[in-house]
Amino acid sequence: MESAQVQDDRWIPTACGACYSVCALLVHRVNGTVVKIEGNPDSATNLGRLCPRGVSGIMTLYNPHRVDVPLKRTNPQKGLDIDPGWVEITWEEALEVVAARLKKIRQEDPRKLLLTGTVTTHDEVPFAKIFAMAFGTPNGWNSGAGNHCGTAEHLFGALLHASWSKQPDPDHCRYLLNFGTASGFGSYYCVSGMAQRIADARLRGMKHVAIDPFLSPSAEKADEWIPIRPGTDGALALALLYVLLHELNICDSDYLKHHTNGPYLIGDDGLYLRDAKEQLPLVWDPADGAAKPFNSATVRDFALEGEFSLDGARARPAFSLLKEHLKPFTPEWAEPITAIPAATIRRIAKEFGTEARIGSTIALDGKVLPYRPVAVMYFKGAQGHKNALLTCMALELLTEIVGASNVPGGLLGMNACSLGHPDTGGPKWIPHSDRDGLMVTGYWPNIPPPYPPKEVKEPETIDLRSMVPTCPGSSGALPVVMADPKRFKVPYEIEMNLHVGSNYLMTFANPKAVEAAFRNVFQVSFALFLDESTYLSDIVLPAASYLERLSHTADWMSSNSPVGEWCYHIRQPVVDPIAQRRSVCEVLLELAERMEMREDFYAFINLVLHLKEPYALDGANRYSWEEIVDRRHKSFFGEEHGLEWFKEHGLLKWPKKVEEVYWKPFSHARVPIYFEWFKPLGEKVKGMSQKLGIDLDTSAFQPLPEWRPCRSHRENGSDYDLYAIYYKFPMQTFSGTYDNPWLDEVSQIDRFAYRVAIHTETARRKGISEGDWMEIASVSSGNIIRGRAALTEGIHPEVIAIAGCGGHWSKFLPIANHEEKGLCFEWLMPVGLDNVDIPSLTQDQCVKVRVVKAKEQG
Amino acid sequence: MQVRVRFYGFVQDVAGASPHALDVPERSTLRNLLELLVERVGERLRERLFNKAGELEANVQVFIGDSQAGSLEELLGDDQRFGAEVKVFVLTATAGG
Repeated sequence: MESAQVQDDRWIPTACGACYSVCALLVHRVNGTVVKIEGNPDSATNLGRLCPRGVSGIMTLYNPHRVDVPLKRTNPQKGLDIDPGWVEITWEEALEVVAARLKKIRQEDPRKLLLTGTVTTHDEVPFAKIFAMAFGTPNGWNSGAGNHCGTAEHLFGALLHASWSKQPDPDHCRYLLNFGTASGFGSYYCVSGMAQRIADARLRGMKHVAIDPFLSPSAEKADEWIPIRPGTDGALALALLYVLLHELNICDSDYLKHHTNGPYLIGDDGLYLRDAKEQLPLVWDPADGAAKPFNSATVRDFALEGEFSLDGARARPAFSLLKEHLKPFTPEWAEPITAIPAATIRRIAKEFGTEARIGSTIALDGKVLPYRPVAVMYFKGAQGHKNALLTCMALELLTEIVGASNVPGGLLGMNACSLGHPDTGGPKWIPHSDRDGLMVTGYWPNIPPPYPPKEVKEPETIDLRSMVPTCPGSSGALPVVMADPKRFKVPYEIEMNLHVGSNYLMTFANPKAVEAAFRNVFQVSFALFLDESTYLSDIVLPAASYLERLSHTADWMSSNSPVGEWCYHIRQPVVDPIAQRRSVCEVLLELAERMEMREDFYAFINLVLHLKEPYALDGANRYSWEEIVDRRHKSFFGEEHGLEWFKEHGLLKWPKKVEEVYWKPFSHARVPIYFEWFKPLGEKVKGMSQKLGIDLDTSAFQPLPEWRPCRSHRENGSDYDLYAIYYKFPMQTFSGTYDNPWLDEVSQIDRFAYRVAIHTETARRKGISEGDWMEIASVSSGNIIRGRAALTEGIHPEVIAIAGCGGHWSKFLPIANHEEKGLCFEWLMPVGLDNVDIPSLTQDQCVKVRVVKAKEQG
Repeated sequence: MQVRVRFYGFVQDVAGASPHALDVPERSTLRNLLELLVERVGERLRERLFNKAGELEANVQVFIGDSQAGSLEELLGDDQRFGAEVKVFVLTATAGG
């Protein structure tokens, strides 16, 4: 371009929104058009790196298939592939219809409103949650309950790490035992920054052992890949614990005594023994031969093993019970379950236990801290099963017994402790302890955190969370309850779904069953594209993408890097919204005005966004979105760091303190290795379910881990001889990016992105060759899907693996909706509580299938 | 003395959106005030606000004026804050993840 023609040539700092990692961007705009997107090298979050999705954001911004105007359905019939008969309407008409319906529902029964969304809309869904709170509904659902949320993993994040999620310490870890996550390898939190940091860790010698049914994009970068049968990670973890404690005698006694409830005395009823006066949990002091409250200043030592008598009652330390409990779980027991040789299990346990370097220390910033350079990572793959709670418990105990939790080299809660900006002290959150001495998170994105335990109540929400308060996030029970609320004694039905950007029909389970739950609901969708879930919408509103909107926050605890620097970013529009697209947050503010809900909305905005005087919103005045965002920044970072400052500088960062990153040695809060309160809570859930006549399997509410088979391990119909799993694919985010032409192009280059991985020998046995069409039939849902075979020896012979969330059928996604553009795994998964881990309400994502060679044409 | 109380969020369906005006005895605590409201509104308000031990549910936050109450035993009128409206928020965990 001739320089004389260039009137506008800027690199604008902002934040990505293509996934939940929120990488910092520099966007090159020339004459009002975005021409390039790069990572911002100033950001501690992504260190200037950017993944293919981030680079390709430009093609989502200008994609001609975007929703550009408000739409109204004209076809009253709803269905998965029934054309809604969209007609254009004005924003005025759309807002009038939506506001009137919202107002009516709020007056009649606000519980009838449901909010659905996805974590990729980092700013919009949290702000919509504030709207929902002010509205007065308890009902919300992120569609991650299906194929992307860590669900039970988040529960243990709260109980053990004061954080939504975890990362290995990339600066000091030397042995990463990775149960199927893509942390540092392509997806997961802080994706681009962690990719760089883990690459650096591998260069300095960190060993990466991948436990995964598939040689995934993460496992292929491991030093060792150990294929495992799906859904058996908990069995492997139990056997590793057995070897560590019973064969190698490896544990961090000092950590267990002072930072866990390992020394708490347990009675024969499985509960803490407590002192008569204060009702505090007791420990046994072997130095004095006496039981004392855990926090007594007179405790000289803590017994971890042994059996004692208190007033004639048997008392055993929690750690002692754990050790005893593990005795049956030998490597020989685990071998036929996991398909991993006992000798391999023993070797891995020895490597892990030795590399934990128990007793060693490291000096950081003049502070001498325990050095435990091993970490156990897991997320959706290991967790997404019917046995989620007990599997997560076993996996977490590996980290706990060697003392590698939130210390240098170990497993870190992501930003569990924040002491705030040096000038203002905000934002601030610090883990603390409750009366029993157990840790309570300083910050938790859903209110309230899972611990201390909540009371079990009759179902008042549409997802059983009020009845099962251990569910940490999105509930796998929602489509089941929503389809038949009377059966669950929910005293109302959902009338309206405020739908912010998630494609829940493709990301939870059997789309047909999910459709049945949502079909009769009035749905208003804020959408970038007319994806499959908008087929059920009554109104579609054109949403501004992350390059077209201003956000009140572009960060949360798990998007920041776990180490290095705190880094808070701006997300600002790099171009004006195209056509009639509008910011969801601004539309919600306008709806609140039309509904005369301003005062309530502002009150909750002040509360949730921590807007303190003089920045709090006054319900007597109306504020623009820019004014609210400005107040948010100033309330955290001071008058000089308002919106204009962020627009210019892009980000604000400062060094993390040692006591923030490695907070555990500085904290008096203990974490459980014996989950004492699970059992009585489970009994309450069971009692409530019996009272209501609901059949719930509450047996997993127990204080110590076990391995239990999932539905897929028991369903062995004729010829249903393979396990089907899905895995996250670094080139795509859930189902939301498949219409992006650049990502489509790179996905076509990758042999596995759109095909189904199957073991070479398994394929040969079935007469299947590379590229052949296969029919995959689910024993559980009865559905059949088709995909081309990609033969590999990098997969367990009993498994087929499907990448990401392709298989689109919306006619409004012309790039994505072809048969050879991947598969929608969820057709294989049934909807039902027998497929849900009840304590965490986790939806299982593994199923037995029959695979046969199919004809070329479907 | 007279106190104004306003409820926000997942409680308005039980307690209403309009402020409640109550006469309470001198040296009343926040617990006294909320118990009076339960008497006036009904037991469903207790279910939303309190657990079985009689403490506030973890998703309930109460403010006297601009200051968050630390305890149900807090005296109304302490620290010259009396006279300000009492605000009761019931937050909801519209689930994430």
